[in-house]
Amino acid sequence: MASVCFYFQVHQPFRIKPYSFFEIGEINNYEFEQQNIDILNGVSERCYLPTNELLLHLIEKSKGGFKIAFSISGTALEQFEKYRPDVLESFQKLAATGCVEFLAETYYHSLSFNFSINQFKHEVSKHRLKIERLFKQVPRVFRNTELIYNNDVAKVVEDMGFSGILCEGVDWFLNGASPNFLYSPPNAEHIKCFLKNHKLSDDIAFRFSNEAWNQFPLTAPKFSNWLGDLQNHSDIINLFMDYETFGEHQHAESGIFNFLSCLPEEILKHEWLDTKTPSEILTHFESKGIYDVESFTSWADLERDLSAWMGNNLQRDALNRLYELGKSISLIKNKALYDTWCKLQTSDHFYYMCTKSLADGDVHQYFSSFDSPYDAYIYYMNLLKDLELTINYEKEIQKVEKSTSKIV
Amino acid sequence: MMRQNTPKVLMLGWEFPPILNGGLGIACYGLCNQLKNMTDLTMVIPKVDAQYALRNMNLIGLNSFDFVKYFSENAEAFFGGDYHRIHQVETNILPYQDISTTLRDINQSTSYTTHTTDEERRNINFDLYGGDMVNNVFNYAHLVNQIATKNEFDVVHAHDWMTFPAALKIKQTLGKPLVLHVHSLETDRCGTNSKGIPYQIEKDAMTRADAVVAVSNWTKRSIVRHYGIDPDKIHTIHNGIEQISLTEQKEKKPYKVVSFLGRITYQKGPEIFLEIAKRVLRAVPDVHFVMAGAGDRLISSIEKAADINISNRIHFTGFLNKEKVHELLSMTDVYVMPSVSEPFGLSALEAAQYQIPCVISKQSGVSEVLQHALKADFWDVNKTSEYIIALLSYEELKKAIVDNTEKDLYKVSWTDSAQKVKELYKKITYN
Repeated sequence: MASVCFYFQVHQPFRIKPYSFFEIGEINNYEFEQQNIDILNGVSERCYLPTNELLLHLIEKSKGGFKIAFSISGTALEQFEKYRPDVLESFQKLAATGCVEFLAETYYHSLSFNFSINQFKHEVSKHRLKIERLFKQVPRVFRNTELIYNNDVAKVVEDMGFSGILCEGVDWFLNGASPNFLYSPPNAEHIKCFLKNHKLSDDIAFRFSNEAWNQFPLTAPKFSNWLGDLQNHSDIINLFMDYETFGEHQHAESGIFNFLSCLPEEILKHEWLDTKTPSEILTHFESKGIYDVESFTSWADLERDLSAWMGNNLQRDALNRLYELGKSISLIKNKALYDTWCKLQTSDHFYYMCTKSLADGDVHQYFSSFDSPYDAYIYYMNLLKDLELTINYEKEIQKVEKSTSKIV
Repeated sequence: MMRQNTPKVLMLGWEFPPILNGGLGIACYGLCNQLKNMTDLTMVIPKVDAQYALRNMNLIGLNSFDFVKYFSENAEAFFGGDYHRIHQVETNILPYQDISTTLRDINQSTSYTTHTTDEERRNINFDLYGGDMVNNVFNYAHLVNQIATKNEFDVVHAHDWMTFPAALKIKQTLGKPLVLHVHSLETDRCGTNSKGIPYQIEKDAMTRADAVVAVSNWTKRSIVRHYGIDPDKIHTIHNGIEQISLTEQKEKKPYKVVSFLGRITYQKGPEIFLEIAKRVLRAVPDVHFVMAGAGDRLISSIEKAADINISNRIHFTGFLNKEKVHELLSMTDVYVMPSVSEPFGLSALEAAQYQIPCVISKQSGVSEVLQHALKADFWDVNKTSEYIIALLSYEELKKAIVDNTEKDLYKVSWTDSAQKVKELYKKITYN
């Protein structure tokens, strides 16, 4: 008996505008609001709304037999609340079916674990609270930004009270073992890890519309048969992907919605297959063994490491300066400035600065709103300079306030 | 039919070291230097200098060519095998004119075709670089045609419009396949509305040639768009660059230096450079700008610099020789090339070799080769300024651009370019 575990990632960053050097000290607003609205509207119409509607229909049709999980970043939730409450509502409808689990993650979809554990914990708690308020469920399972993972992440997350954590099933750490079971980190008491089956996940997320692929076209019966082939020697099959796979990365014309609409029924046709949420899996299955990951892994790029965000000096420079500023920002206790700083942590900003495959027209540029990784770095550094000036100014004010209050 | 693997090539050039007015001479030299090892190569140029002899190729300068003697002797002795002949230049070379002056001459010239009698030809002043450009071009054509008729070769390869009439004449008389190599177009030099004699020559020649080599995709697109030439016969072959080794430490000034290097003409965007300087100075007041080169916009540029009040931060050096260019690049922090239309832009590659981060116009061929240069539309003063300011402000950015550009440079070589040219010879001679 094997359970298929669907998890979809929903994320939108607060993209920054091309912030000129000449705006430093002049303009405090860094968000490219119109672009954020335009992109959100586009993705909502092409992906979020139609896919949510389809999933709701499939869950109802399956009479509770079809289970899925979402992780929605805090920045995406804020944008829904602000610009597209209808999208938020459609997620809430899914939550109300009882067949959809919402996971916890870093509120700002950040790399905070790698720079400040305190910041990381704060973000995760903030996100957990947000999920509770919006979807009326308390997350038990955690996924870190871009499935960034190692043994230490698992330990910290366990200490925060989570029972499960999602990660990439990286071949060179699996060492020939199957990703299709629950595993335990070597350094934790009870937390279990879910390993992404990258082959089957990427068949849908990346290869679905690739005509050069020898399995093209991918149909729901064919894909379900592949899952069926695994049913006797697997506990779980983790299909983890960006939610934007449906209608955005894979266009509606590719037939992705047809595929999705047939998939639950095709899966459930197999006698020994079902679908479960991550929390259900935790109660049904035991750990198969130890998954020992010392260095950081992620689900990004071929390297499956941190190089997508920290691979070059520009990225590291920008991150170091940001977290350097973080120290001052926590001292001045200005809510608006803190919020601004937090949003600048979102990993996308650093992803756009990746130069590793500038030559072969790549996935980093696909997501970026800038012409080049150098533009992404320049505008980001310009606005950090402004933020620094603003923080210093605020510090001065607070100093004056303090000294005058003493006099009084 | 071409001989197995070593085609005999008659190459026609105009500029060749030490005559350098831009990238043309350097590119011809670089290409010949590799191609001579893959082909049986004869290059005919208006003037030769013994210092720039290349082994294994015939380099013929018309200035030193004894026609009477030549046509009475056995031609084989002159063109055969390993033999190369270099003559001292005795005539004074007039300073190579700015292209703008040259154009004025051409526009004043009334005839497209010039006919010279044998008598006149014998009395030709061999200084083809001075005087009436169109006359020179057609004198060159007559002389080269005479050399060509006495010799065996498989293909004619001509560089830029000055040699195109000669190439066409040879094609007409001997029916040999013709490759035209476009380093620069009249529409680059004088704007897209130019329809003068050089334009007519370019259009006519490219229409009739068997193949056209463009030094960039940017140039290929211009040839298609402005000349209506069939894109299928245009082949993009990027220029290479001679490797240099930087041994000495850079001489660093206490202030930052931003440089422009090239002819000060409309095509190179000197006024745009001044606008950029003005804007950059608002953000980084202690940076110094250098405009190195000469041209018809030099005086107006100096006036404009005074007019916009940046004279104390901009330096006009006039034309620089090789040593001075080296000196300038050694102290440069950022190289800027805001060309309106740049077929290639070898100077940016040279700057990159000096580990200088480059900000270049998107309207340039070299931007296809330097993946990691910062690129902006030539008219986008704000964006270009933003890049320069960032390079002056963020050390990591500068390092990243320099490191990544170094990888771009590994991929640029004259051997590759020559190999592609040879493939092209094969293709058109077998057809």
